[in-house]
Amino acid sequence: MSEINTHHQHQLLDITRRHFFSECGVGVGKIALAGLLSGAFRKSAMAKPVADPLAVRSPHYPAKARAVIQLFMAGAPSQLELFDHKPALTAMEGKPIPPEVIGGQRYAFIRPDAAVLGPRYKFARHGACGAELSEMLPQLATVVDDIAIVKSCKTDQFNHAPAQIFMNCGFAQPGRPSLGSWVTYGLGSESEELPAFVVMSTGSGISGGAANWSSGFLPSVYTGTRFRNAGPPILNVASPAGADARLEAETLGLVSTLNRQTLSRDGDPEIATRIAAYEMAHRLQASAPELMALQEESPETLALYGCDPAKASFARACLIARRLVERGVRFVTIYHAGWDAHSDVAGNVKNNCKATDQASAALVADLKQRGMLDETLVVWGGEFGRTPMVESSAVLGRSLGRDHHPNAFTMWLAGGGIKGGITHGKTDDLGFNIAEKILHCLGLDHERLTYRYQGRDFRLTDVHGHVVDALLT
Amino acid sequence: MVDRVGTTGTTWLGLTTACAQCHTHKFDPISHTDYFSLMALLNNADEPEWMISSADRDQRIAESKARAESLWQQVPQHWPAPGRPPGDQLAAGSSEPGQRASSDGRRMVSLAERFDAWLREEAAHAIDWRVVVPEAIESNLPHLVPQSDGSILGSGDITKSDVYTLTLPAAEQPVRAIRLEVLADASLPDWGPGLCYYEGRKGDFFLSEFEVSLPLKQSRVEIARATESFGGKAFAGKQAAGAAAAIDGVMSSGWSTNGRQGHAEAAVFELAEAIEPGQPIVVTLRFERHFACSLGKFRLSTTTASGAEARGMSLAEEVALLTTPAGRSADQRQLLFRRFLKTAPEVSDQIKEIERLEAVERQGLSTLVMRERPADNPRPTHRHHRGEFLSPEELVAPAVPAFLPQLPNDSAPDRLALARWLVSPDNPLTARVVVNRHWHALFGRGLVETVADFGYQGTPPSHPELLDWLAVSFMTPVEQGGLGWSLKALHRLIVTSDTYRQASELTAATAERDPDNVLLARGPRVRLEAEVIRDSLLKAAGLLSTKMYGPGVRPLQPAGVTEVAYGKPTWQASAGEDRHRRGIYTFRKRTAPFAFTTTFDGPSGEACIARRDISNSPLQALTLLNDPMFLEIARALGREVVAAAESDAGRIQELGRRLLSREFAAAETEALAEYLQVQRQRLATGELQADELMAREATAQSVNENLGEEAAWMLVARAVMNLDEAIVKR
Repeated sequence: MSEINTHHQHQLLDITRRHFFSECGVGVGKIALAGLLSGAFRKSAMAKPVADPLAVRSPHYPAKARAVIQLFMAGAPSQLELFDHKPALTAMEGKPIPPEVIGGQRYAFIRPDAAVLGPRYKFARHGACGAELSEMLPQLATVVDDIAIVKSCKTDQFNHAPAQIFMNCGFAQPGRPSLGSWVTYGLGSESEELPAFVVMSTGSGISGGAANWSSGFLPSVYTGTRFRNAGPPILNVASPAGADARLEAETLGLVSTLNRQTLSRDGDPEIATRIAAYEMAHRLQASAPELMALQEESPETLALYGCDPAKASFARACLIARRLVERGVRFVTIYHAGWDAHSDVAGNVKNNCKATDQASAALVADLKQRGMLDETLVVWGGEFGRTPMVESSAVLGRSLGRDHHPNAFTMWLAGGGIKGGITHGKTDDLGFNIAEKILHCLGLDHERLTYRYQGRDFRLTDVHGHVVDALLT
Repeated sequence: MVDRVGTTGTTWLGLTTACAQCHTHKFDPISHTDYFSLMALLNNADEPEWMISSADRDQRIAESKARAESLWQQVPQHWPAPGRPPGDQLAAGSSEPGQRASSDGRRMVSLAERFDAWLREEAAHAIDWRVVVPEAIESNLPHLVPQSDGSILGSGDITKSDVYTLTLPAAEQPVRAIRLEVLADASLPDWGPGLCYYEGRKGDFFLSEFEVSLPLKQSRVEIARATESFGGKAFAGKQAAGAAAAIDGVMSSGWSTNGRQGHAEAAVFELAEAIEPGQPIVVTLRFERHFACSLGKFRLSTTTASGAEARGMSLAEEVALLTTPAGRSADQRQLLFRRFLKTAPEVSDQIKEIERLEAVERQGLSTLVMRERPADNPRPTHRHHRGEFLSPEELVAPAVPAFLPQLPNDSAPDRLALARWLVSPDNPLTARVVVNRHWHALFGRGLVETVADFGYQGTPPSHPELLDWLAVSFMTPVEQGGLGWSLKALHRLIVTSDTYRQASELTAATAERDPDNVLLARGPRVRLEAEVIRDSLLKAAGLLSTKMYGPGVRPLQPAGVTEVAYGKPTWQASAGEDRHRRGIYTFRKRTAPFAFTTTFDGPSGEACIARRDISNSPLQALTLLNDPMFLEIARALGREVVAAAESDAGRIQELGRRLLSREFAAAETEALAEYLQVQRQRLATGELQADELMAREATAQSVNENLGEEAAWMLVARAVMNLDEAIVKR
């Protein structure tokens, strides 16, 4: 068992309880209360009646990154129209792909002998590093020296839901904890008020659904908290219609008074935790509007992202993500669905780049100018790639599309622990494990971050993976 | 399957069987082979939908059939009487009896004429089809069994690319066309004709290609033309899926009769050149889609006639048509007459009603079941190297783990044997695991703390004799003084014990000597589980519905919870008592779980969690304070206490009894009364709006004295609902 595991599951719980009672004795709960009401709830061991599952924990080794922003391009973007320039395909366009190229691979819709489709967009070299990007990514080109492009990504799955769940949880069937849950479990939360793991979604619905941010067999407290696009982002953060601030203060005051009486009678430290939770809820109600006050951002920043604060969009979500990380949130995932270009890949890429290119690049630039990029890891990518062969079917009304391609896709990473301005891997390389790299940047060893379930120590990367040093600073 | 083996171990045996998926268990005596032997016990089952039979349903079906038959008798009376010849106009409206008789007469004459014309037309096109029973039937996986009527019925597993190869015996006459009838059957999903049950439409099939070849000549036979009695729409609904699409050489197009589930249809494949007699014919059916969609019941026939087309006639109808009018039996005449009526637009309303009644048999409430597979089609189970699905090794026989007492020799090693073995008096493990889990539910901690692991890695029982005594009592039949496996009796036994009824207060002595209450010197004090919190608050407010059974319902939850799920479904809260059913009936949307349950540590249901962790978070506080579901409960509770007592003191105690099962102490009452007075005052001055708090439209009607009073008590109720004690069992 790893340190964190032991620490988390049994011993700390016992030790702190015993410690609390042996040092303080029953009836001295008020001392504890004084501590937690003064805001030291998370930090002071004395004031902590039970092990806080979200307490900040040390990584396995010094971390490069403190937080992660995952830009999940659901539906699978075409690497061939964005990052992976293959002029050879143009020469072969219209001819069937040679069978030796694809071996026995099966596809979702097309036959293995489908014709080749050349890249739909022009590519050019950018930045000091000279990385090739398509004309659909003009904004990303401006930060290309800060990102590491990984072209050799590969997955086990070629349907959306299982592939999304695989990317997030390391397993194609639902039921395992997601990356964000593992990270929160491993490192705890630095924010006392905001959830440690936040999920936003700006495109169409996500076929993998909540399994993508599920805590699986980890305690549910590590489940990603969904931020809504309309209304206050956190569920139930707003007081009911008709209630004013005074009423809420008086209500919480009454609840607190009565709970304290119960604490002094029953002596259960969980009551003290509940009192603290209501205090934090009250603070969260105050801080949530502040978090969402995007109009406070400078006009330059809003323009950088292309964000209209009043309108739900990917740009708005990226800006919120930066503000969340600023406030100590550990892991933010933004889903943007809609890259599933079975037909008209050119139009699909154009529309989705219009929605995401500027804001993705702005996030990297903004984090950098604020000095936050060094400790924030940004990860961009989908659940698989798209075929070099064309998908067209009169039966399904599709033309000039690309099918699902599990064997090659591109992701990029930027920020804490990642070397900027490099391109890793060629599309005929073998596998690459993004998850363990993310853990590595956060100072977590993917072989030591474990949780005991059904009799064995599970880990995100199961029995696979090694860290690619070439990408790391 | 992997999940089931793990869950079976956790639930019934308290064993971490899942651990042995990849290799022999490192701590407990469960070998790698044991794991797959246990899987073999569970693996040999089909999982069809089972129509739930009931006396009601049987009666409904019988009545529908009788009604349909009686409607059949009446159809001719609805045949329209043709108008009178032009010269007869003046007689219209006459009440002379002869006139009416001639109206009925004209009706009958018209009907007979139309039927005769139809018979002549159809008989002229009737084809002499010969049913051919294949002498060899092969498939890649589905189980195909010939039936007595010459048809073939499919069952068992299907894949996304299935191939049926049927070798027809040498014909005696030249074969110019082959007919494929697709047939309904009660054993198929939605009565077939397809085996599709997942992703595509239930009961659909998708015939990508229909191929004919001659093995002796090693040649393919060209198909000149394909016709169908009905062609559905292909996936995505854009293109017609006619039989021609099954001979176009394109696998992504094909023939489907989607929309005609439960009905027989046919396709006829006319050959470019006749196949000479005396040689076997191989017919290959290919089914390929991004979902499994093979054919479930079908029949092949051939003809020597040329120009054959699919016309939707059943075999019996074709035979009757080919019989000379004089030679037709009464049954054949009725068969053809009804067939004719089904095609006649004049009585389409009546026919529609009859078809509706005939479909009643295929409708009803169904449930998924596991059904042991037939002896001639068992599903093999292998040991898999390192647990990898794609690395099967040797076959394994179904068995329980070797270190435990074995299954009896006198019965087949199947799921029934496993179930009997689990609860056999010789197996104490199941009862121990079950009573321990219920002890855990009541005390918040099991006698064995690791409720899912009784192995070497688990914690030893704190009270081994107690655990054994409870387990043995639980298993012992009632007539021998035991509990007879009754959970209710077990609960009663535990909750009426002195141990359970102890006070739960922590004293300095118990905190010092037994902080986690392992030794049970005090009563349990644990937060309720998510579903129980909701149920108990609904109950306190007088809202809880105890209605049993039926499909899941949707309680209130904040807007936007489901917007992230695929297809962005809306969550329309149920109306009436369905809104307040017990938590077990809450609809489970996999991609967007019910938000309240997740916030209060309810697992997603995707992994078997024997013991929920209990967290204590600000999000929980916000939920109890502001979630629309709990505000609704607070409003109902406010109204209830106003109605229940006259005095403030009486109402405060009413709230205490309903939410905390006790009366408030003086200090508490004082704090509550003070809060009440302040809010009552603010409501009276209009600082707080009663109709807003009570979610009433601000209309003249709602302006009444009671609303302000109810709102004040709603606020008090909301506060009490948020007390630690309201969601804690003590």
